[in-house]
Amino acid sequence: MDVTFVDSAAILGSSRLHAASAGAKVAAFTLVLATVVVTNDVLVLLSALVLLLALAAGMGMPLRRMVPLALYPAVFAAVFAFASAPSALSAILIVGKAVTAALAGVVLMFSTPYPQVFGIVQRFVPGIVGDALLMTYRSLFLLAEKLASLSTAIKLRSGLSGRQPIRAFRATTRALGGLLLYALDLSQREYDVLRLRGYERRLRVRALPSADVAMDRALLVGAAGLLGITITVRAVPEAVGIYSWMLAALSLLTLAVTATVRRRKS
Amino acid sequence: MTDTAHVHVHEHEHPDDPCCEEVVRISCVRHTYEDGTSVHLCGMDFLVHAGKRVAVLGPNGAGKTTLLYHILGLLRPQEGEVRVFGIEPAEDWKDIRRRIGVVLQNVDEQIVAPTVFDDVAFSPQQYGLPDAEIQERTYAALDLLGIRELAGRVPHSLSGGEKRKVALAGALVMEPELLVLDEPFEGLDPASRSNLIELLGRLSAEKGMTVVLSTHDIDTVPDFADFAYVLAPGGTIVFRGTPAEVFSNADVIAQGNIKPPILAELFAMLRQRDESAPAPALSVRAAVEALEEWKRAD
Repeated sequence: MDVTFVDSAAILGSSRLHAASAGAKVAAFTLVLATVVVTNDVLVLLSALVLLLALAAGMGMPLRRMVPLALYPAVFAAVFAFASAPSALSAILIVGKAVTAALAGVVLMFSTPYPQVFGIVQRFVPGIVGDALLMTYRSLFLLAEKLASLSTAIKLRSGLSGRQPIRAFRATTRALGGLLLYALDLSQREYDVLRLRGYERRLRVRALPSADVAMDRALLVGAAGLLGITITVRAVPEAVGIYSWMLAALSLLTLAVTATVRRRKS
Repeated sequence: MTDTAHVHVHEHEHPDDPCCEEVVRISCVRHTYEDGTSVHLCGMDFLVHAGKRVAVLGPNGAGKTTLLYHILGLLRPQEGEVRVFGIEPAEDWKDIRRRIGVVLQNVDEQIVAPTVFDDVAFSPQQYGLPDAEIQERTYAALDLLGIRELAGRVPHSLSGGEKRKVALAGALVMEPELLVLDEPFEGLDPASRSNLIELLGRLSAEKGMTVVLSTHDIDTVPDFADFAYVLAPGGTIVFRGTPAEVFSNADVIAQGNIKPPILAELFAMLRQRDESAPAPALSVRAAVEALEEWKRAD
């Protein structure tokens, strides 16, 4: 995963979703997550997934970079589904839940700078956990750079050779061991730096104000509406469940319209 | 080398001058690292008075960074004593931290926020200053370094020199009384280096800021420093004096494994060939004047 790309997309993006407040986006993300947890209807889940895609497409976000990231958990969910799902429909539901939740997370991370997200999370978790989440921010980039330079060094010094897999494996594990030690060392140095720069007990994060209040409201209303429909379908499946195909059709139509408008604009 | 000609002023001053408040005192400090490497910063006390610009010179592994880390309270002395603003920094860092700005050697590890503005604003944010003041201080620091246009940029997309300027802006944002810089000229192009020397000189002159820096960039020392301390391998502080005193002392140069500035080398060579050659001048202008006078006398 190219963390630098994700970070730049979140910070430098100029869409209305980027302009919305981090608080609204995190709340909407939580509501979508609740939808994923509550639903047992494949069509409702499909609707949530398609609406997320429509949102990302409508905002001009880099779907080609986002979708592969959202599909990562599908691999592990598929193994679990294969092992434990009683039917094909249940298996689809398990994999679909993993992918929808991951896509919601990816949309959030591509539209909101990491410290803004964890600045909010920090309020609801123990201080040390919140600070640790925030402190990992720069470490991610430093470790990614270190890993890239280590890989180059191993390649240049002929440590990676397809003809000698054992030697390549040894070189890789040694490099990863070195990276682990570097990470431990780095965490101490990062802590020292933060302490020198004024950190004490709790990291304070500058909460960026919303630049698009209408978008905040739209996100919250949309996510709450989706959760409301999901709860209703779950509670009275006989009466409402038979209409869930309409929600799926509507979301597909939304995606089609959004993608068409976006293509014409670009 | 830039021609800012501080040298002739420094020759009249001396670190022992009780001119003003004592900001830093390090007395015979020893630190042994986990790998067994021991640094014993002894030989003479390391003293810095308010408003002075002090360079720490010495070969790799002599203990320059160890010395700076003791000033910053990142290392606790296993022997000896460290006092910064009269306080032991490893014990009571929070009492003095607002008075100290820091730029460490690896600036990449010092930048912690997602944008340049956020990073420079980090310290005032942690100290809980009001938003308006944070904004004012941050833009003032960015302007001081001439990097306001970088405010919205993502730090990992910056060049090494730009990152160093961002780190320095972050150190200056709280208008510290003491600025500690570990190898601040590394990665800077010659023009940026001259600007930084000029800026540090201005901050010291106008705001009375005390500056302690370690450097391998010997050519900058005469332009920048009021005084220099020379460390020998193992950490022994072998000499303190003005840059002119340091670079005209062959024993010190050998002990500190220092390659003197090119002008000092030139004058030393001239003196070897002709005893009537002038005393070393460490700025281009002073050198030209000295050589012209020598030519006339000849």
